[in-house]
Amino acid sequence: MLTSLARITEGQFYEAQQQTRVVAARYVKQENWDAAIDILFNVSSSLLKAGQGGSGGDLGLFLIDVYKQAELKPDAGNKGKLLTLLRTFDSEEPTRKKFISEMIG
Amino acid sequence: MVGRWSAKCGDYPAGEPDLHHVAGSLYAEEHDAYDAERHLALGTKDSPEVFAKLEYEWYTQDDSHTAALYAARAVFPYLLTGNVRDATKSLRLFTSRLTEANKNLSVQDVSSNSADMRIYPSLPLLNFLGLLLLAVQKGSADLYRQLKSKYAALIKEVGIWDEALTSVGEMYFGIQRPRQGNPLFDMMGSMFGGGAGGPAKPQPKRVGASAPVAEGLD
Repeated sequence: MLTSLARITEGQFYEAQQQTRVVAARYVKQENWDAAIDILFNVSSSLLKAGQGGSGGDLGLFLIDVYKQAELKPDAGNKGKLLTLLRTFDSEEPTRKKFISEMIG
Repeated sequence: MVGRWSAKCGDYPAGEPDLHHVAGSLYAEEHDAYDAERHLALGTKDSPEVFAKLEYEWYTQDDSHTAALYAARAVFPYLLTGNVRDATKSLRLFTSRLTEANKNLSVQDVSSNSADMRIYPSLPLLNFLGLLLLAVQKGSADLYRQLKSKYAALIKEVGIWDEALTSVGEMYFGIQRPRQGNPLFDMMGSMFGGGAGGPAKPQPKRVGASAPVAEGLD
């Protein structure tokens, strides 16, 4: 995760997104949900803050997909992560609408 | 993976109310009214406040006699999801904004033993909505029928309330919706004991039932 975050500070947004996808997919395969959620949430949040709505949104959608695969209950912590990402999205970012509909239903 | 997360993994088939509330409020702030409405209708007890404000602000850009059309955009979705409490609350909040902003709007308070009503002589359809909610709260199919016939011409003019009113009639008063079947098929159905074209009689929904059924909403 640190290397992904480092890439963001260096402006290598696409590389950070791709690397995070690979690592998260590996965690998902191991059913290591906590680790997958941790990296997806942190990198998505950093990308969104850097104004990278497309790649940040993509990882946000991946995060919701992990929630579904792990069958996580919508408790305050799980919802809170998604709401944090939601508030970080730029309102003009087209991925945001998809994020909202995947999050809620 | 089929299904959306909160609807799939949570206790609410239409999705978590607090997530709907946040999303709806966000869209409302950005004046994206249609998306705001979809979510606020399935939100929390705090949503009617945002919903009424959204509709009221939208209304102020239209002609003054159209108030009821905007109030109805909150009232009907709540009624159709079985949420009588927030249907009532959103109408109350809408009309208090209206009277607050229009000090010379004529208002009459009507009280009887069984109910108190605020009447707006210049906005008949707003009165219709108030009386409709009264009929729902009292579970009075008679009152509902009277209202629909008394206001028939005005409702017809609105044009887009018919479907919602038919659903309200079905949900709260057990009034079967008019069939749109094949007449020959219906006739044969009635000849052969109702097996063919006769839909089961719908059960009237209890007012204030705890599990709202989302009808006409996703």
